[in-house]
Formats: sequence, structure tokens, C-alpha cells
Amino acid sequence: MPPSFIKIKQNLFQYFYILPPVIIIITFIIIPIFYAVDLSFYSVHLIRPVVKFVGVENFRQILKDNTFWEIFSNSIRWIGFGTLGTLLIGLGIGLFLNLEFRLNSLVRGLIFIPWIMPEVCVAFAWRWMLNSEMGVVNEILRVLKLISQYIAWLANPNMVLYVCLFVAIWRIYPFIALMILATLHGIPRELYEAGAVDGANLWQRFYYLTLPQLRFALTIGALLTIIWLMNSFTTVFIMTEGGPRHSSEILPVLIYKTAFQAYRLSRASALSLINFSILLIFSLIYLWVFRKQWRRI
Amino acid sequence: MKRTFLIFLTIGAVILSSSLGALAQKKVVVWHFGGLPAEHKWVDDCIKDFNATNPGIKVERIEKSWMTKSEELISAWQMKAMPDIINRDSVSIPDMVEMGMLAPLSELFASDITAMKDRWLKPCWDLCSYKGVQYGIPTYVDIAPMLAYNRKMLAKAGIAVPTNWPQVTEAAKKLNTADHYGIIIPATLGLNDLEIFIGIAYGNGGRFLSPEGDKVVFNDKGFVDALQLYVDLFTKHKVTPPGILEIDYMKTIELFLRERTAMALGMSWFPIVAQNLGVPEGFEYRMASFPMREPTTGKYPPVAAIMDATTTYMLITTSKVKKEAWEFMKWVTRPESMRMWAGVRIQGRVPTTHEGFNTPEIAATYPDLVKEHEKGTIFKGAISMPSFPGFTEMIKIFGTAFQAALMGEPVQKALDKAAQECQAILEGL
Repeated sequence: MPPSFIKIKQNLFQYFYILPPVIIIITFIIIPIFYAVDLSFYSVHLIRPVVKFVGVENFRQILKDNTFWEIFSNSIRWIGFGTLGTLLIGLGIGLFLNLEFRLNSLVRGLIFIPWIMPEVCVAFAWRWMLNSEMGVVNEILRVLKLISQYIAWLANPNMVLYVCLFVAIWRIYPFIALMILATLHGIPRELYEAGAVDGANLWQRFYYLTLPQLRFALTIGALLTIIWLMNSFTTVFIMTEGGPRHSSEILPVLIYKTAFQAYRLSRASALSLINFSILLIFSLIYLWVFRKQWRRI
Repeated sequence: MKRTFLIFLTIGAVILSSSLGALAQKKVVVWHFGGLPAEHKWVDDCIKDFNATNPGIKVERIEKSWMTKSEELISAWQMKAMPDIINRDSVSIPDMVEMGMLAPLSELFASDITAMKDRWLKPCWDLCSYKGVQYGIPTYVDIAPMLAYNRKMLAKAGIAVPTNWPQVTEAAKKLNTADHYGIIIPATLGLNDLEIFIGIAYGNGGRFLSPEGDKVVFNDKGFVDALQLYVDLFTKHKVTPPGILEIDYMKTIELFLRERTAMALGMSWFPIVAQNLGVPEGFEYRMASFPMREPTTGKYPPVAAIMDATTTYMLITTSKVKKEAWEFMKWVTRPESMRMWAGVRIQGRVPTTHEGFNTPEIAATYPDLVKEHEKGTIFKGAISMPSFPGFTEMIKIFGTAFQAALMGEPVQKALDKAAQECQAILEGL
């Protein structure tokens, strides 16, 4: 009997134990992905019973549509500013929570509330708070005499995408802060003592001692944030449905509308593939650029 | 021992027979989209009575969100997990028929349909037919466009209820003060908001599609001038809130009830929603049809109103209990059951049957409609809200153009672009 076969026979039990999750992954992830890829090369419209193979026609139609490029540009800004904002805020909050002060535990608990709230509830709550006529945000700003007229947060096409992004960041940053905090707890105190002895000031200690230790956490945090933002649908759809016009529309919302409002299942599949491809490219570039951080582990 | 055995045998027989009874009982599942709590309660009472009267049938009602009705039905259709009956809006019938979802009632139950249809007002009955086949039984209709106005504010300003477009503009300008806006026009991408506008455009002689159904014509003058009215109220006269692009029909009513506006646009469900939100004590308001432009500028005959039978009972093609489901549909639309839509529990729904206009409650809520019913002129000049295969996709494109115009794009240009896109979709279908 060949040695490899003997090895497989000996490890058979181990393969048996991983079989259930493998079946689930294949059934609910791999097969649907292949089905979506297959669907994207056909023309499937729910109110037209004929299904025909159209090759790359769906992709061609998408790429020559100006609306798609407008929404694509929204998505790039959504991911770019969203990742930067989430990391900066998460880093700041993580550093703050690492300080020792009274009621530190209570503040930590409160800061994590956005993360544990269901996304639907968050979106609805902020939609009401940001309402131009009845929202509490405008009311507070008016009472503080910071504005004289109510601001149409969700109706201003120049602002609406960033307002929705603010809500998305508000929900995600606690997780990044938690990662940063966990990493900070692992940094040995002796490092800072040595720095103090060498006369490093606050900024120098942060830049030369803390930040290098946080690189891995920040890398992972950025990657996760990109994935979450790329797949983000609920916040935008509930708050604005992508409006006004397409000002706050991002790719996941477009995919949803194409499938469930335009009934074009194959075009929605093609859009999903484009979204997936962008995410894959982003992730691969990111991992390549930060490969050194990975090698250190 | 023998006695114990006999006792157990008897218990087993009882359990088995009741199980067999349950198996013999046919289950009918109804998906009820939207509606108000009082309406749900009424339908549940109807179901209880039906189940008691028909022991061989068990009807089960499942509440579903109005906001996700399309998505839920499409997903269920793809997964072949549909209910037996649904109730939703009649404007969606063409799309659902083309998908193969709806059973043709006039073909399956021809004699019943012939016997019952004369109870309904013909314009309402016809809302639920497509290509000459009846697919649904309507319960009430929603009518657009309607203008709600605050009586005290108008009286204080010495303004009469506007009866044409220039009067609407002048009234809104005079009523626009530091304390409240002149008028709120809901302008989100939501279907209700767009249909309110479409009602105004149809009143100006505009149409979504040509009468032949082969050409998209919402870029004609009827629609263009109606949208220009909206744009002028919003950007030129500034008599509306700056955030109308995010203020939908519900928020419009809420702001109206809070006296943040003197007038508001809506549909005939305005009193229902207001009731649900809670009309403050002493708050006096009235409803009127939104006035038409004089003279109209569209090339088609102006319509007094557009209608949608929002809670229409429809039978699903994949149902395995069609006969039993149909028995329930007849039950829930019999005269005693239809009394709810005639103002008995909820005030503000417009009935679709002749007997519905004979209740004292409807006479109190819609005295003008009752008079027209008596004269035989009710719904004269009213037609269905746009309803054709592909409408769900096209209305989103139209909505984008509608908002683009409010955001500053020239009205004709915005509508021309959208019409071109919709024409391509129409030809593709």
C-alpha cells in the first residue's frame, strides 16, 4: 500500500470530523457562487419566461451604463473614507480606553453598544434622528445655536453619502477599538519604560513604540472593514434607499434593486460578480502590500 | 391487564382519529401584506368564523411587511414556497401574471365570478383584471391625488381651498410663515409618493404610457408641467421643507398633524394614517381632490383621480387547495366581511362595492362620494394607477428623474432621459 494512502487511512477520522462544515460550505457558499457565475451569462428576467445564453452581454451592459459608474464611484468613496475613518476612530478610542481612569469599564461597555445593536435598528434610529424636520440632531444643533435653519442631512446630494457612512462607521468602530485595545494590553510595559528613560516624548512613544506593535491589528482591522463596507447594504437601503437620485447608492444596493425591483436576476448576478471581483482585488493588493506584517507572525 | 390494554387502545384510537381529522382538514395559507392593526383583527375574526363554519378547511393568516412585499414574493416564488392566497395592490397584477404567479379566477370559477361581480363598482372590479381575465377581488381603493388642509390656518389667512394650480401656489406662498410651511409634497423614491405625483400629472392630461401601451410618454407636457409645479414650489417659491426628498407620505402626515404645514399632499388613506398616528384634539382638517390645471396641457383626457385596489385578494397558481382557498376568498369578500372597508372599524378607506356606500360611516367620511354613487357618477373620470408588466422597474427610473428635476436638472431633460431608458425596457419586454 503506498505511504500516502496509509496516511489518509490513518487520518480518516479527522477528515470525517471536518466533513459537516465542508458540506455546509459547499452547499451554502460554493454552489451558490458557481450558480451566480453561471446565471450571469444568461438572460433571466422574471417577467419574461424565456431564458437564453447571452455570454458577457450582461457585463457589457453594466459597464456601459453611466449610472453604474456613478454608483461605483460612490462605492470607492464609501470604502476609502469608511476604512480610514473607522481605523482612525477605532485607534483613538482604543488608545483612550487603554488609559486608566475611573469608570473605565462602564465607558467600555457604553462604547460597544453600537456594535451589539442590530444594524436594522441602528439604521432606522439614525434615519429618525437625522430627519430634517423632526430629527433630534437638528433640534440639538438649533438649541445650541449652531444652526439657524434645519439641515436636510439625508436629502442633500452632496452630503447624504457621508452621512450614511458616518452611521456605518459608528456601528463598526467599536470592533476595531476592541482589537486595538486587546493588542495594546499585550505590549510590554518595559518598552515604554525604556522609551521614557531614553527621553521619548508622548508622540515619539506612540509613533516609535505603540504604532509598530499595532500594525498587525490595524492590517486585520482594515481588511475586515473593507469587507464589511463592501458588503454593506442595510444602512444605506433603510436610511435613503440610495437616494436622492443615486447620491447615496452603493453597489450592494444596486444589486438588490436590480434583482428585486427590476426582476433582472442575471444582471444582478453579474453585478454581484463585479462586486466580488473588486473585493478580491482589493484584498489581494492589501495583503501583498502588507505581506511583511503577515510574515512576522 | 385486559382492561389496561383496552384503555390504551381507546386512547390511541382517539389520538389517531383526531390526527386523521387534522390530516383530512385542508390548510389554506394567506399572506397579508401591510394593513392596520384594526384591519388585521377584523380579518382574523373573519377567519375564525370561516374555520368554525368550514371544519374541513383551516385558514391561517401570516402578516407580512408591506415594504418588502416584492422581495418576499420573488424569493418565495423562486424557492417554490408560496402561500395559497396573497393580498396586495392591484397595480402589481400584470407583473405577477407575467411571472405565472396568479391563478385566473374568471377561468377557474367562472360561474361564481359572474354571480358576484355585479356587487362591485365596475371601475374597481376592472382594476383587478388583466387582458380580460379577473385575477383578484378588491376590498377597497386608494385614490390620488388628495390635498389635506388645516382649516384654522386657511381661515386665519383668509384663504379659500385652492381650485387650480395658480391658487395652490398662491395659497402656499401666503401660508408659508416662520411657524409652518405652506405645503408639503412628499418626494422620496417610494411608490406612494410617486403615485401622488402621477395622479397630478394624469389630471393634467399626462400619461405614463400611450393608450396603445407601446410608447413611454411621461416626458410629454402633461407630466413636464406637473413636475415643473413641484419644482417651482420647492426651489422657486420655497414653500416646502428643504428636505422633501427624504420626507415620505408618512412623515408628511406626521408633520401636518404637528401643524408644521398648512397643506399636504397625499391619497385617500390620509385619514387612516392620521387616525393611526393620533389626531390631536381640536385639530381640524379636511380633504379635497388636488385641483387640476386649467386649461390642462397634456394631450390626453384629464382624469379626476387614479386608483389602486391596495388590498386585493389573489389566488396563487401553485396552490394545491385552490377550491378551498376560493371558498375563503368568497367569505372574506362577502357583504358582512366587507363592512370593515365601509367605515365600520376604520374610517377613510374607499369601498369598492355598492353596499359599501350605503353605510352611515361612509356617508360621514365621504359625503361627496356617496352623493356621486347615488347619482351613478362615482369614479367617473377615474382610472387605474399605471399598471403593466415592467412598471416596477420603470417607476424606479422615473423616480430618479423626478428627484433629479427637484435637485436642479431641467425637467424636460430629466424626463427625456428616463423615458428613453424606459422605452428600451418596454421594447425589451
